[in-house]
Amino acid sequence: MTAASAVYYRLAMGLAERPWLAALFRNLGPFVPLIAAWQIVVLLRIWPRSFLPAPAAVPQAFAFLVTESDLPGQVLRTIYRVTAGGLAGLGLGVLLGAMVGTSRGLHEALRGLIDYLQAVGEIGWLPLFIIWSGFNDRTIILTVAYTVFFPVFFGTMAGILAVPRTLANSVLTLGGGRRHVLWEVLLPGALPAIITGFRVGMGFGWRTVILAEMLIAQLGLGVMMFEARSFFRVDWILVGMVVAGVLWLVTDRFVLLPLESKTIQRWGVQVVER
Amino acid sequence: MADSRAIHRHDHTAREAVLPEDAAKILFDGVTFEYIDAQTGERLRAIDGLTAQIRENEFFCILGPSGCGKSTLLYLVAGLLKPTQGKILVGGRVVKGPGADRGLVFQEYALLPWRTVRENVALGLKIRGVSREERDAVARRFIHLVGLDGFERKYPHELSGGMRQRVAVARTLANSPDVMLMDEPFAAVDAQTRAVLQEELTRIWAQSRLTVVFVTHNVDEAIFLGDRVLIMTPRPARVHSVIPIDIPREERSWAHLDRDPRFAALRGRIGDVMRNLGDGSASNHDRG
Ligand SMILES: Nc1ncnc2c1ncn2[C@@H]1O[C@H](COP(=O)(O)OP(=O)(O)OP(=O)(O)O)[C@@H](O)[C@H]1O
Ligand SMILES: [Mg+2]
Repeated sequence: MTAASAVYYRLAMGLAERPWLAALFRNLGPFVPLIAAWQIVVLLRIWPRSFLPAPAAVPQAFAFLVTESDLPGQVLRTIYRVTAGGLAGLGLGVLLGAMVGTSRGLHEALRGLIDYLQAVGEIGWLPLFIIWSGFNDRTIILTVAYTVFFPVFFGTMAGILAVPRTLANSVLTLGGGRRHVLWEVLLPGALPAIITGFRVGMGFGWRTVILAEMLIAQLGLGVMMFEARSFFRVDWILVGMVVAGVLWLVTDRFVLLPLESKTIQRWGVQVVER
Repeated sequence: MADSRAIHRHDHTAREAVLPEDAAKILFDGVTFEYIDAQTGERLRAIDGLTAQIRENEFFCILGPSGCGKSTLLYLVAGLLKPTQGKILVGGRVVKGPGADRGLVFQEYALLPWRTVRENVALGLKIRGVSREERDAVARRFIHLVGLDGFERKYPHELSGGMRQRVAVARTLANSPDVMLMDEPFAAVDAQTRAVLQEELTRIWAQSRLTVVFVTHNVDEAIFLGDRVLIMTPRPARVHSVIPIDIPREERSWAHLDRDPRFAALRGRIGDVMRNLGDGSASNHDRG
Protein backbone atom coordinates (compact mmCIF):
# COMPACT_ATOMS: atom_id res chain seq x y z
CA MET A 1 0.00 0.00 0.00
CA THR A 2 2.24 2.73 1.25
CA ALA A 3 5.88 3.19 0.34
CA ALA A 4 6.91 2.21 3.85
CA SER A 5 5.09 -1.08 3.73
CA ALA A 6 6.55 -1.77 0.28
CA VAL A 7 10.04 -1.20 1.66
CA TYR A 8 9.27 -3.40 4.62
CA TYR A 9 7.90 -6.07 2.30
CA ARG A 10 11.01 -6.02 0.10
CA LEU A 11 13.21 -6.18 3.17
CA ALA A 12 11.28 -9.10 4.61
CA MET A 13 11.38 -10.94 1.28
CA GLY A 14 15.11 -10.29 0.97
CA LEU A 15 15.67 -11.73 4.42
CA ALA A 16 13.43 -14.70 3.75
CA GLU A 17 15.45 -15.54 0.64
CA ARG A 18 18.73 -15.28 2.53
CA PRO A 19 18.30 -17.05 5.84
CA TRP A 20 21.88 -16.35 6.88
CA LEU A 21 21.34 -12.63 6.45
CA ALA A 22 18.23 -12.85 8.57
CA ALA A 23 20.18 -14.80 11.17
CA LEU A 24 22.90 -12.15 11.11
CA PHE A 25 20.37 -9.40 11.73
CA ARG A 26 18.74 -11.37 14.50
CA ASN A 27 22.07 -11.98 16.18
CA LEU A 28 23.47 -8.47 15.72
CA GLY A 29 20.28 -6.67 16.66
CA PRO A 30 20.89 -6.52 20.44
CA PHE A 31 24.39 -5.09 19.88
CA VAL A 32 23.02 -1.88 18.43
CA PRO A 33 21.48 -0.48 21.64
CA LEU A 34 24.46 -1.77 23.62
CA ILE A 35 26.96 0.15 21.51
CA ALA A 36 24.70 3.19 21.48
CA ALA A 37 24.55 3.17 25.29
CA TRP A 38 28.31 2.83 25.42
CA GLN A 39 28.70 5.84 23.13
CA ILE A 40 26.32 7.87 25.31
CA VAL A 41 28.23 6.99 28.48
CA VAL A 42 31.44 8.10 26.80
CA LEU A 43 29.87 11.36 25.64
CA LEU A 44 28.59 12.06 29.17
CA ARG A 45 32.22 11.81 30.34
CA ILE A 46 31.34 9.82 33.41
CA TRP A 47 34.73 8.16 33.30
CA PRO A 48 37.99 9.44 31.87
CA ARG A 49 38.67 8.39 28.28
CA SER A 50 41.49 6.15 29.43
CA PHE A 51 39.04 4.09 31.48
CA LEU A 52 36.50 3.72 28.70
CA PRO A 53 37.37 4.78 25.16
CA ALA A 54 34.66 5.39 22.58
CA PRO A 55 33.40 2.46 20.49
CA ALA A 56 35.15 3.94 17.47
CA ALA A 57 38.49 3.52 19.22
CA VAL A 58 38.15 -0.24 19.05
CA PRO A 59 38.44 -0.67 15.25
CA GLN A 60 41.36 1.79 15.30
CA ALA A 61 43.11 -0.24 17.97
CA PHE A 62 42.29 -3.38 16.03
CA ALA A 63 43.96 -2.04 12.89
CA PHE A 64 46.96 -1.00 14.94
CA LEU A 65 47.31 -4.38 16.63
CA VAL A 66 46.99 -6.24 13.33
CA THR A 67 49.77 -4.25 11.70
CA GLU A 68 52.05 -3.54 14.64
CA SER A 69 51.64 -6.46 17.00
CA ASP A 70 50.83 -9.55 14.92
CA LEU A 71 47.34 -9.92 16.30
CA PRO A 72 46.47 -12.64 13.74
CA GLY A 73 49.44 -14.72 14.87
CA GLN A 74 48.43 -14.41 18.48
CA VAL A 75 44.84 -15.30 17.70
CA LEU A 76 45.93 -18.33 15.67
CA ARG A 77 47.97 -19.55 18.62
CA THR A 78 44.92 -19.25 20.84
CA ILE A 79 42.75 -21.02 18.29
CA TYR A 80 45.30 -23.81 18.09
CA ARG A 81 45.29 -24.27 21.87
CA VAL A 82 41.53 -24.20 22.25
CA THR A 83 41.06 -26.57 19.30
CA ALA A 84 43.66 -29.08 20.47
CA GLY A 85 42.33 -28.98 24.01
CA GLY A 86 38.76 -29.19 22.79
CA LEU A 87 39.42 -32.23 20.63
CA ALA A 88 41.33 -33.96 23.43
CA GLY A 89 38.46 -33.28 25.82
CA LEU A 90 35.98 -34.50 23.21
CA GLY A 91 37.85 -37.77 22.66
CA LEU A 92 38.32 -38.49 26.32
CA GLY A 93 34.79 -37.44 27.19
CA VAL A 94 33.24 -39.74 24.57
CA LEU A 95 35.49 -42.63 25.56
CA LEU A 96 34.81 -42.44 29.27
CA GLY A 97 31.19 -41.43 28.78
CA ALA A 98 30.63 -44.50 26.59
CA MET A 99 32.33 -46.76 29.13
CA VAL A 100 30.32 -45.42 32.05
CA GLY A 101 27.13 -45.29 29.97
CA THR A 102 27.34 -48.94 28.99
CA SER A 103 28.52 -50.47 32.25
CA ARG A 104 26.47 -50.31 35.39
CA GLY A 105 29.52 -51.33 37.44
CA LEU A 106 31.72 -48.57 36.04
CA HIS A 107 28.87 -46.14 36.43
CA GLU A 108 28.64 -46.89 40.11
CA ALA A 109 32.42 -46.97 40.58
CA LEU A 110 33.28 -43.74 38.76
CA ARG A 111 30.29 -41.46 39.05
CA GLY A 112 31.29 -40.02 42.44
CA LEU A 113 34.90 -39.47 41.40
CA ILE A 114 33.90 -37.71 38.21
CA ASP A 115 31.43 -35.44 39.99
CA TYR A 116 34.20 -34.59 42.45
CA LEU A 117 36.74 -33.81 39.72
CA GLN A 118 34.23 -31.58 37.98
CA ALA A 119 33.74 -29.65 41.20
CA VAL A 120 37.49 -29.11 41.58
CA GLY A 121 37.55 -27.50 38.15
CA GLU A 122 40.33 -26.79 35.69
CA ILE A 123 41.54 -23.65 37.46
CA GLY A 124 42.03 -25.64 40.64
CA TRP A 125 44.29 -27.96 38.72
CA LEU A 126 46.21 -25.27 36.89
CA PRO A 127 48.99 -24.80 39.50
CA LEU A 128 49.54 -28.54 39.52
CA PHE A 129 49.55 -28.74 35.71
CA ILE A 130 52.17 -25.98 35.68
CA ILE A 131 54.41 -27.86 38.09
CA TRP A 132 54.00 -31.10 36.15
CA SER A 133 54.11 -29.77 32.64
CA GLY A 134 55.62 -26.25 32.77
CA PHE A 135 54.73 -22.89 31.27
CA ASN A 136 53.90 -24.14 27.80
CA ASP A 137 51.17 -24.94 25.30
CA ARG A 138 50.76 -28.42 26.69
CA THR A 139 49.62 -27.07 30.04
CA ILE A 140 47.10 -24.76 28.40
CA ILE A 141 45.79 -27.53 26.17
CA LEU A 142 45.46 -29.82 29.17
CA THR A 143 43.50 -27.17 31.01
CA VAL A 144 41.13 -26.65 28.09
CA ALA A 145 40.74 -30.42 27.68
CA TYR A 146 39.83 -30.68 31.35
CA THR A 147 37.13 -28.05 30.83
CA VAL A 148 35.65 -29.59 27.70
CA PHE A 149 35.79 -33.12 29.08
CA PHE A 150 32.94 -32.83 31.57
CA PRO A 151 30.08 -31.58 29.40
CA VAL A 152 31.07 -34.11 26.72
CA PHE A 153 31.31 -36.89 29.28
CA PHE A 154 27.91 -36.18 30.77
CA GLY A 155 26.37 -35.67 27.33
CA THR A 156 27.69 -39.00 26.09
CA MET A 157 26.60 -40.87 29.19
CA ALA A 158 23.13 -39.36 29.33
CA GLY A 159 22.75 -39.74 25.56
CA ILE A 160 23.59 -43.43 25.69
CA LEU A 161 21.27 -44.06 28.62
CA ALA A 162 18.44 -42.33 26.75
CA VAL A 163 18.64 -44.54 23.65
CA PRO A 164 15.51 -46.76 23.56
CA ARG A 165 16.33 -50.34 24.50
CA THR A 166 14.39 -51.77 21.57
CA LEU A 167 16.93 -50.26 19.17
CA ALA A 168 19.72 -52.21 20.82
CA ASN A 169 17.46 -55.26 20.87
CA SER A 170 16.78 -54.95 17.15
CA VAL A 171 20.51 -55.07 16.41
CA LEU A 172 20.86 -58.12 18.67
CA THR A 173 18.07 -59.99 16.87
CA LEU A 174 19.76 -59.21 13.55
CA GLY A 175 22.80 -61.09 14.78
CA GLY A 176 24.82 -58.19 16.16
CA GLY A 177 26.97 -58.31 19.28
CA ARG A 178 27.94 -55.73 21.86
CA ARG A 179 30.30 -54.05 19.42
CA HIS A 180 27.51 -53.53 16.90
CA VAL A 181 25.17 -52.28 19.58
CA LEU A 182 27.76 -49.69 20.55
CA TRP A 183 28.62 -48.49 17.04
CA GLU A 184 25.24 -48.86 15.35
CA VAL A 185 22.97 -47.84 18.18
CA LEU A 186 24.44 -46.30 21.32
CA LEU A 187 27.01 -43.89 19.89
CA PRO A 188 24.88 -42.66 16.98
CA GLY A 189 21.92 -42.41 19.34
CA ALA A 190 23.98 -40.34 21.75
CA LEU A 191 25.43 -38.14 19.00
CA PRO A 192 23.07 -35.18 19.43
CA ALA A 193 23.78 -35.19 23.17
CA ILE A 194 27.51 -35.51 22.51
CA ILE A 195 27.47 -32.54 20.15
CA THR A 196 25.43 -30.50 22.61
CA GLY A 197 27.96 -31.39 25.32
CA PHE A 198 30.82 -30.39 23.05
CA ARG A 199 29.14 -27.10 22.21
CA VAL A 200 28.68 -26.25 25.86
CA GLY A 201 32.22 -27.44 26.61
CA MET A 202 33.79 -25.30 23.90
CA GLY A 203 31.91 -22.28 25.20
CA PHE A 204 33.60 -22.83 28.55
CA GLY A 205 36.84 -23.78 26.78
CA TRP A 206 37.12 -20.32 25.21
CA ARG A 207 37.04 -18.77 28.66
CA THR A 208 39.53 -21.25 29.98
CA VAL A 209 42.05 -20.68 27.20
CA ILE A 210 41.98 -16.90 27.68
CA LEU A 211 42.43 -17.26 31.41
CA ALA A 212 45.19 -19.86 31.15
CA GLU A 213 47.00 -17.69 28.63
CA MET A 214 46.81 -14.70 30.95
CA LEU A 215 48.40 -16.76 33.67
CA ILE A 216 51.11 -18.70 31.91
CA ALA A 217 51.63 -17.92 28.21
CA GLN A 218 53.93 -15.52 26.39
CA LEU A 219 51.80 -15.32 23.27
CA GLY A 220 48.11 -15.43 22.52
CA LEU A 221 44.93 -13.42 22.73
CA GLY A 222 44.74 -13.74 26.51
CA VAL A 223 48.35 -12.60 26.85
CA MET A 224 47.71 -9.60 24.65
CA MET A 225 44.75 -8.58 26.77
CA PHE A 226 46.63 -9.06 30.00
CA GLU A 227 49.71 -7.16 28.79
CA ALA A 228 47.51 -4.31 27.62
CA ARG A 229 46.51 -3.84 31.22
CA SER A 230 50.07 -2.85 32.19
CA PHE A 231 50.10 -0.20 29.42
CA PHE A 232 46.66 0.94 30.48
CA ARG A 233 45.40 0.24 26.96
CA VAL A 234 41.72 -0.35 27.60
CA ASP A 235 41.13 -0.22 23.83
CA TRP A 236 43.43 -3.22 23.33
CA ILE A 237 41.61 -5.13 26.02
CA LEU A 238 38.34 -4.31 24.32
CA VAL A 239 39.74 -5.55 20.99
CA GLY A 240 40.61 -8.84 22.70
CA MET A 241 37.12 -9.13 24.12
CA VAL A 242 35.52 -8.42 20.78
CA VAL A 243 37.78 -10.84 18.88
CA ALA A 244 37.27 -13.66 21.38
CA GLY A 245 33.52 -13.10 21.41
CA VAL A 246 33.17 -12.85 17.66
CA LEU A 247 35.33 -15.91 17.05
CA TRP A 248 33.24 -17.96 19.42
CA LEU A 249 29.98 -16.66 18.03
CA VAL A 250 31.06 -17.45 14.48
CA THR A 251 32.26 -20.96 15.38
CA ASP A 252 29.12 -21.64 17.31
CA ARG A 253 26.61 -20.23 14.84
CA PHE A 254 28.24 -21.48 11.69
CA VAL A 255 29.71 -24.81 12.78
CA LEU A 256 28.48 -26.20 16.08
CA LEU A 257 24.87 -25.06 16.10
CA PRO A 258 24.14 -26.19 12.52
CA LEU A 259 25.81 -29.52 13.31
CA GLU A 260 23.67 -29.92 16.38
CA SER A 261 20.44 -28.98 14.61
CA LYS A 262 21.25 -31.25 11.71
CA THR A 263 21.81 -34.33 13.86
CA ILE A 264 18.79 -33.63 16.00
CA GLN A 265 16.68 -33.17 12.88
CA ARG A 266 17.99 -36.29 11.19
CA TRP A 267 17.45 -38.20 14.38
CA GLY A 268 13.79 -37.35 14.04
CA VAL A 269 13.33 -34.87 16.83
CA GLN A 270 11.68 -31.59 15.99
CA VAL A 271 14.02 -28.63 16.44
CA VAL A 272 12.75 -25.44 17.97
CA GLU A 273 13.60 -22.38 15.88
CA ARG A 274 16.34 -20.45 17.61
CA MET B 1 12.04 -84.93 5.70
CA ALA B 2 11.29 -82.11 3.35
CA ASP B 3 8.81 -84.26 1.47
CA SER B 4 6.92 -85.32 4.52
CA ARG B 5 6.62 -81.70 5.54
CA ALA B 6 5.38 -80.68 2.16
CA ILE B 7 2.64 -83.27 2.49
CA HIS B 8 1.99 -82.17 6.02
CA ARG B 9 1.05 -78.75 4.89
CA HIS B 10 -1.93 -79.96 2.93
CA ASP B 11 -2.86 -82.71 5.34
CA HIS B 12 -4.79 -80.54 7.71
CA THR B 13 -6.42 -83.31 9.67
CA ALA B 14 -3.04 -84.40 11.03
CA ARG B 15 -2.33 -80.94 12.39
CA GLU B 16 -3.51 -81.42 15.95
CA ALA B 17 -1.44 -84.51 16.62
CA VAL B 18 1.18 -83.99 19.29
CA LEU B 19 4.65 -84.12 17.84
CA PRO B 20 7.63 -85.81 19.37
CA GLU B 21 9.78 -83.13 21.00
CA ASP B 22 12.55 -83.19 18.45
CA ALA B 23 10.18 -82.62 15.55
CA ALA B 24 9.10 -79.24 16.86
CA LYS B 25 10.89 -76.18 15.50
CA ILE B 26 9.91 -74.20 18.56
CA LEU B 27 9.02 -75.86 21.83
CA PHE B 28 7.72 -74.00 24.88
CA ASP B 29 8.25 -76.24 27.86
CA GLY B 30 6.44 -74.95 30.93
CA VAL B 31 7.57 -71.39 30.29
CA THR B 32 6.95 -68.87 33.04
CA PHE B 33 8.16 -65.32 32.86
CA GLU B 34 8.03 -62.61 35.51
CA TYR B 35 9.02 -58.99 35.06
CA ILE B 36 10.84 -57.71 38.14
CA ASP B 37 10.55 -54.04 38.96
CA ALA B 38 14.09 -52.72 39.36
CA GLN B 39 13.08 -50.28 42.11
CA THR B 40 10.54 -52.12 44.21
CA GLY B 41 11.53 -55.69 43.36
CA GLU B 42 7.87 -56.36 42.69
CA ARG B 43 7.17 -59.27 40.37
CA LEU B 44 4.67 -59.26 37.56
CA ARG B 45 3.89 -62.63 36.03
CA ALA B 46 3.38 -62.18 32.31
CA ILE B 47 3.56 -65.84 31.19
CA ASP B 48 2.45 -68.70 33.37
CA GLY B 49 3.69 -72.22 32.62
CA LEU B 50 3.00 -72.04 28.91
CA THR B 51 3.55 -75.22 26.92
CA ALA B 52 3.16 -75.37 23.15
CA GLN B 53 4.99 -76.49 20.05
CA ILE B 54 5.40 -75.01 16.64
CA ARG B 55 6.42 -77.12 13.63
CA GLU B 56 9.12 -76.31 11.19
CA ASN B 57 7.79 -74.19 8.32
CA GLU B 58 4.53 -73.69 10.15
CA PHE B 59 2.64 -70.43 9.97
CA PHE B 60 1.63 -70.05 13.59
CA CYS B 61 -0.62 -67.21 14.68
CA ILE B 62 -1.10 -65.95 18.21
CA LEU B 63 -4.19 -64.10 19.36
CA GLY B 64 -4.78 -62.76 22.83
CA PRO B 65 -6.18 -59.82 24.76
CA SER B 66 -4.07 -56.68 24.98
CA GLY B 67 -1.41 -56.87 27.67
CA CYS B 68 -1.66 -60.64 28.07
CA GLY B 69 1.98 -61.32 27.23
CA LYS B 70 2.22 -61.86 23.45
CA SER B 71 5.18 -59.53 22.93
CA THR B 72 6.83 -61.02 25.99
CA LEU B 73 6.49 -64.48 24.46
CA LEU B 74 8.19 -63.35 21.22
CA TYR B 75 10.97 -61.66 23.21
CA LEU B 76 11.55 -64.97 24.98
CA VAL B 77 11.87 -66.85 21.70
CA ALA B 78 14.15 -64.13 20.36
CA GLY B 79 16.33 -64.59 23.44
CA LEU B 80 15.97 -60.99 24.56
CA LEU B 81 14.39 -62.22 27.81
CA LYS B 82 15.10 -65.40 29.73
CA PRO B 83 12.31 -67.57 31.16
CA THR B 84 11.94 -67.40 34.93
CA GLN B 85 11.01 -71.09 34.81
CA GLY B 86 10.87 -73.66 32.05
CA LYS B 87 12.72 -73.53 28.77
CA ILE B 88 12.31 -72.75 25.12
CA LEU B 89 13.90 -74.91 22.43
CA VAL B 90 14.38 -73.69 18.90
CA GLY B 91 15.56 -76.31 16.44
CA GLY B 92 16.22 -78.65 19.35
CA ARG B 93 18.49 -76.21 21.19
CA VAL B 94 17.70 -74.28 24.33
CA VAL B 95 17.48 -70.56 23.62
CA LYS B 96 20.30 -68.84 25.45
CA GLY B 97 20.33 -65.43 23.81
CA PRO B 98 19.46 -63.50 20.68
CA GLY B 99 20.68 -64.64 17.27
CA ALA B 100 20.20 -63.96 13.58
CA ASP B 101 18.36 -67.29 13.14
CA ARG B 102 15.35 -65.78 14.92
CA GLY B 103 14.31 -62.47 13.38
CA LEU B 104 11.88 -60.25 15.23
CA VAL B 105 9.65 -57.59 13.73
CA PHE B 106 9.10 -55.33 16.71
CA GLN B 107 5.67 -54.02 17.56
CA GLU B 108 7.23 -50.55 17.81
CA TYR B 109 9.26 -51.09 14.58
CA ALA B 110 12.61 -50.25 16.26
CA LEU B 111 14.16 -48.76 13.13
CA LEU B 112 17.38 -46.80 13.54
CA PRO B 113 16.33 -43.15 13.11
CA TRP B 114 19.75 -42.10 11.77
CA ARG B 115 19.78 -44.71 9.01
CA THR B 116 17.95 -44.48 5.71
CA VAL B 117 15.36 -47.03 4.70
CA ARG B 118 17.97 -48.86 2.63
CA GLU B 119 20.54 -48.85 5.43
CA ASN B 120 17.96 -50.10 7.90
CA VAL B 121 16.91 -52.94 5.64
CA ALA B 122 20.55 -53.87 4.98
CA LEU B 123 21.57 -53.68 8.63
CA GLY B 124 21.64 -57.42 9.29
CA LEU B 125 23.77 -58.01 6.22
CA LYS B 126 26.13 -55.21 7.23
CA ILE B 127 26.56 -56.82 10.64
CA ARG B 128 27.40 -60.06 8.87
CA GLY B 129 30.05 -58.29 6.80
CA VAL B 130 28.34 -58.57 3.41
CA SER B 131 29.77 -56.16 0.82
CA ARG B 132 28.01 -52.89 0.14
CA GLU B 133 26.96 -53.75 -3.43
CA GLU B 134 25.45 -57.03 -2.36
CA ARG B 135 23.59 -55.54 0.59
CA ASP B 136 22.23 -52.75 -1.58
CA ALA B 137 20.95 -55.29 -4.07
CA VAL B 138 19.27 -57.39 -1.38
CA ALA B 139 17.86 -54.29 0.32
CA ARG B 140 16.42 -53.05 -2.96
CA ARG B 141 14.70 -56.40 -3.51
CA PHE B 142 13.00 -56.39 -0.12
CA ILE B 143 12.13 -52.71 -0.27
CA HIS B 144 10.40 -53.47 -3.56
CA LEU B 145 8.67 -56.42 -1.96
CA VAL B 146 7.04 -54.25 0.70
CA GLY B 147 6.12 -51.66 -1.91
CA LEU B 148 8.50 -48.89 -0.87
CA ASP B 149 10.41 -48.31 -4.11
CA GLY B 150 11.66 -44.75 -4.25
CA PHE B 151 11.86 -44.42 -0.48
CA GLU B 152 15.34 -45.97 -0.18
CA ARG B 153 16.97 -42.73 0.87
CA LYS B 154 14.30 -41.52 3.24
CA TYR B 155 14.78 -41.54 6.97
CA PRO B 156 12.23 -43.30 9.22
CA HIS B 157 10.84 -40.02 10.57
CA GLU B 158 9.93 -39.06 7.02
CA LEU B 159 7.66 -42.12 6.69
CA SER B 160 4.17 -42.88 7.91
CA GLY B 161 3.64 -45.45 10.64
CA GLY B 162 2.54 -48.08 8.16
CA MET B 163 5.57 -47.45 5.95
CA ARG B 164 7.91 -47.78 8.92
CA GLN B 165 6.28 -51.03 9.81
CA ARG B 166 6.88 -52.32 6.27
CA VAL B 167 10.54 -51.30 6.52
CA ALA B 168 10.76 -53.30 9.73
CA VAL B 169 9.29 -56.34 7.96
CA ALA B 170 11.73 -55.92 5.06
CA ARG B 171 14.65 -55.58 7.45
CA THR B 172 13.85 -58.87 9.16
CA LEU B 173 13.15 -60.71 5.89
CA ALA B 174 16.38 -59.44 4.31
CA ASN B 175 18.33 -61.06 7.10
CA SER B 176 16.88 -64.47 6.05
CA PRO B 177 16.12 -65.93 9.48
CA ASP B 178 14.87 -69.51 10.07
CA VAL B 179 12.21 -68.27 12.41
CA MET B 180 10.37 -65.03 11.84
CA LEU B 181 8.72 -63.58 14.93
CA MET B 182 6.24 -60.91 13.94
CA ASP B 183 4.59 -58.68 16.53
CA GLU B 184 1.45 -57.24 14.95
CA PRO B 185 3.50 -56.34 11.89
CA PHE B 186 0.64 -55.00 9.80
CA ALA B 187 -1.30 -53.24 12.54
CA ALA B 188 -0.52 -49.74 11.25
CA VAL B 189 -0.96 -50.58 7.56
CA ASP B 190 -4.12 -49.75 5.63
CA ALA B 191 -6.41 -52.64 4.67
CA GLN B 192 -5.44 -52.74 1.01
CA THR B 193 -1.69 -52.70 1.60
CA ARG B 194 -2.17 -55.22 4.37
CA ALA B 195 -3.85 -57.68 2.00
CA VAL B 196 -0.92 -57.31 -0.43
CA LEU B 197 1.62 -57.79 2.34
CA GLN B 198 -0.20 -60.81 3.73
CA GLU B 199 -0.13 -62.45 0.33
CA GLU B 200 3.55 -61.59 -0.21
CA LEU B 201 4.42 -62.96 3.19
CA THR B 202 2.61 -66.25 2.63
CA ARG B 203 4.28 -66.53 -0.78
CA ILE B 204 7.75 -66.09 0.70
CA TRP B 205 6.89 -68.43 3.52
CA ALA B 206 5.56 -71.11 1.14
CA GLN B 207 8.72 -70.96 -0.99
CA SER B 208 11.05 -71.32 1.98
CA ARG B 209 11.43 -73.29 5.17
CA LEU B 210 10.64 -70.22 7.19
CA THR B 211 8.74 -70.76 10.42
CA VAL B 212 6.52 -67.79 11.19
CA VAL B 213 5.15 -66.87 14.60
CA PHE B 214 2.67 -64.11 13.94
CA VAL B 215 1.03 -62.09 16.71
CA THR B 216 -2.10 -60.23 15.72
CA HIS B 217 -5.23 -58.67 17.15
CA ASN B 218 -7.12 -59.33 13.96
CA VAL B 219 -9.11 -62.58 13.92
CA ASP B 220 -9.57 -62.53 10.14
CA GLU B 221 -5.86 -62.02 9.63
CA ALA B 222 -5.05 -64.97 11.89
CA ILE B 223 -7.42 -67.23 9.94
CA PHE B 224 -6.17 -66.01 6.58
CA LEU B 225 -2.51 -66.55 7.44
CA GLY B 226 -2.33 -69.30 10.01
CA ASP B 227 -1.89 -73.03 9.86
CA ARG B 228 -2.94 -72.93 13.49
CA VAL B 229 -4.03 -70.16 15.79
CA LEU B 230 -3.06 -70.12 19.44
CA ILE B 231 -5.38 -68.16 21.70
CA MET B 232 -3.80 -66.90 24.88
CA THR B 233 -5.57 -66.25 28.18
CA PRO B 234 -5.41 -62.80 29.80
CA ARG B 235 -2.26 -62.18 31.83
CA PRO B 236 -0.62 -64.26 33.13
CA ALA B 237 -0.70 -65.89 29.72
CA ARG B 238 -1.46 -69.55 29.30
CA VAL B 239 -2.66 -71.44 26.27
CA HIS B 240 -6.41 -71.12 26.06
CA SER B 241 -6.73 -73.21 22.91
CA VAL B 242 -5.00 -74.01 19.65
CA ILE B 243 -7.27 -73.96 16.64
CA PRO B 244 -6.23 -75.53 13.33
CA ILE B 245 -7.28 -73.60 10.25
CA ASP B 246 -8.54 -76.29 7.91
CA ILE B 247 -8.90 -74.19 4.80
CA PRO B 248 -6.46 -75.21 2.06
CA ARG B 249 -3.97 -72.53 1.08
CA GLU B 250 -5.13 -72.48 -2.54
CA GLU B 251 -8.58 -71.41 -1.40
CA ARG B 252 -7.36 -68.61 0.82
CA SER B 253 -7.81 -65.45 -1.11
CA TRP B 254 -9.76 -62.61 0.39
CA ALA B 255 -12.21 -62.72 -2.48
CA HIS B 256 -12.95 -66.39 -1.77
CA LEU B 257 -12.85 -66.30 2.01
CA ASP B 258 -15.64 -63.80 2.42
CA ARG B 259 -18.04 -66.36 1.00
CA ASP B 260 -16.46 -69.45 2.55
CA PRO B 261 -18.66 -71.06 5.24
CA ARG B 262 -15.58 -72.59 6.92
CA PHE B 263 -14.13 -69.10 7.26
CA ALA B 264 -17.36 -67.79 8.73
CA ALA B 265 -17.47 -70.69 11.19
CA LEU B 266 -13.89 -70.17 12.34
CA ARG B 267 -14.37 -66.46 12.61
CA GLY B 268 -17.47 -66.97 14.75
CA ARG B 269 -15.80 -69.53 16.97
CA ILE B 270 -12.57 -67.59 17.53
CA GLY B 271 -14.43 -64.32 17.85
CA ASP B 272 -16.63 -65.76 20.62
CA VAL B 273 -13.59 -67.04 22.51
CA MET B 274 -11.86 -63.68 22.20
CA ARG B 275 -14.89 -61.80 23.43
CA ASN B 276 -15.21 -64.04 26.46
CA LEU B 277 -11.52 -63.73 27.25
CA GLY B 278 -11.02 -60.08 26.57
CA ASP B 279 -12.74 -57.08 27.93
CA GLY B 280 -16.00 -59.03 28.12
CA SER B 281 -18.07 -56.40 29.88
CA ALA B 282 -17.29 -53.72 27.33
CA SER B 283 -18.09 -55.81 24.30
CA ASN B 284 -21.26 -57.14 25.94
CA HIS B 285 -22.39 -53.58 26.49
CA ASP B 286 -21.63 -52.80 22.89
CA ARG B 287 -23.74 -55.69 21.83
CA GLY B 288 -26.45 -55.28 24.44
N1 LIG C 1 9.51 -54.11 30.60
C1 LIG C 1 8.44 -54.44 31.35
N2 LIG C 1 8.49 -54.31 32.69
C2 LIG C 1 7.43 -54.64 33.44
N3 LIG C 1 6.28 -55.10 32.96
C3 LIG C 1 6.18 -55.25 31.63
C4 LIG C 1 7.24 -54.93 30.75
N4 LIG C 1 6.85 -55.18 29.49
C5 LIG C 1 5.59 -55.63 29.58
N5 LIG C 1 5.19 -55.68 30.85
C6 LIG C 1 3.87 -56.16 31.33
O1 LIG C 1 3.73 -57.51 30.95
C7 LIG C 1 2.43 -57.76 30.48
C8 LIG C 1 2.51 -58.35 29.09
O2 LIG C 1 3.03 -57.37 28.22
P1 LIG C 1 3.18 -57.64 26.66
O3 LIG C 1 3.81 -56.45 26.07
O4 LIG C 1 3.84 -58.95 26.46
O5 LIG C 1 1.64 -57.73 26.24
P2 LIG C 1 1.02 -57.94 24.78
O6 LIG C 1 0.18 -59.14 24.83
O7 LIG C 1 2.06 -57.88 23.75
O8 LIG C 1 0.08 -56.66 24.69
P3 LIG C 1 -0.38 -55.84 23.38
O9 LIG C 1 -1.37 -56.69 22.67
O10 LIG C 1 -1.02 -54.61 23.94
O11 LIG C 1 0.84 -55.57 22.57
C9 LIG C 1 1.69 -56.44 30.54
O12 LIG C 1 0.86 -56.47 31.68
C10 LIG C 1 2.74 -55.40 30.68
O13 LIG C 1 2.30 -54.37 31.50
MG1 LIG D 1 2.55 -56.54 22.33
